[in-house]
Amino acid sequence: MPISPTNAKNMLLTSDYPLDKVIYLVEGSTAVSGFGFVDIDTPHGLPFTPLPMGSWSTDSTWDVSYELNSGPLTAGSLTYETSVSANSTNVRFSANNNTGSSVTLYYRIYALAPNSADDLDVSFTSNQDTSFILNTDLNYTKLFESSDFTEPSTGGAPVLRSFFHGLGYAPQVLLWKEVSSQVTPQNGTDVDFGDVVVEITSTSLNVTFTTFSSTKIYYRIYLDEQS
Amino acid sequence: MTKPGRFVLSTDYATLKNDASTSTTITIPASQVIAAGSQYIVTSDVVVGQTNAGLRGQISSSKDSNKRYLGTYQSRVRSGLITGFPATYDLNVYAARLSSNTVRVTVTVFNPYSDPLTTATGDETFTIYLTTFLSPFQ
Repeated sequence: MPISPTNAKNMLLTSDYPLDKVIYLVEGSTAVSGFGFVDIDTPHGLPFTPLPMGSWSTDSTWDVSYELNSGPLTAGSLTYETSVSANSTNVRFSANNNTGSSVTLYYRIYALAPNSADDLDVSFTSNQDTSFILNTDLNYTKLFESSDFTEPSTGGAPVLRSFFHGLGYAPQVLLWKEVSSQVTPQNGTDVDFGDVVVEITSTSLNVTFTTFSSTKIYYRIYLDEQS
Repeated sequence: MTKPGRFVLSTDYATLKNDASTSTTITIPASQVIAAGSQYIVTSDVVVGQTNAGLRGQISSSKDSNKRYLGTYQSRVRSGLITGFPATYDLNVYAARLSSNTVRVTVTVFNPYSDPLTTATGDETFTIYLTTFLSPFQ
């Protein structure tokens, strides 16, 4: 019988809840001309579409880095608009430069595997001989639940889907949406006009769809509290 | 080659390590008057996490029963007044690194109209919950 989630969240490790395994890593840089945009496709070689995430920087030292779909503002708007997506073949880093000056952007993309890939072989991404992967200086996100579901087009009418977790606190959540075979992470919310609005409560994950296309959602709920 | 989904722990794959967490608030005062075509910006800085640590966030608003929504940015529509008549406007909340261990939360309100905009009545406080985690590239 698994230990209670309340106790498990305070533990560094528990065998009842697995750690995230990063199954794909790629990094690079690209120049983006003033008011220009780029799409950088990299074949991932995986036998499934991965769940991508990442970060970016204007600095090769990575002293200051940003989440995708985030970054510094100029007059209240994003100076550079960045995103990541994946399909069955490639991982794509995209960037728009909203300034008139050319810039070099550095990106680091990594990915997790969807549940459907549990029985598929994947090459390792870490070398156990040269790096100590686990240590007691840090906590590790412990996966409580992961799943996916597909919502057909709602024709623009809001449809609420709730997924009970019952943890008693707001947990950390990761979520991706797949539309037209492109998987993108959900890093923010347009509460009033977003096609997918994600609310986290102490008992459930609530996803409101207002979609005109069939949308698949991949979600991961962690024992770790978003405090 | 192994099957990552079948292992609770595996040294064959990099993982994500929680680094630090914090929460901060930022308040938009009621009934701000914003000149035509201008922008109202409020910022708040918070120290959290190590250099190059990634961010996970959730954001709630006091005007929305403090419901938490996913992500480090949020867009809302609010209703104010233009020449005494109701008019909607966009309000955006962003959380992004300002320096290696500081996150800046910014709220922006843009007045797209050709007359001054008076924002909604009642202060609105956003709470931003942030967790940092170490990049698997480290």
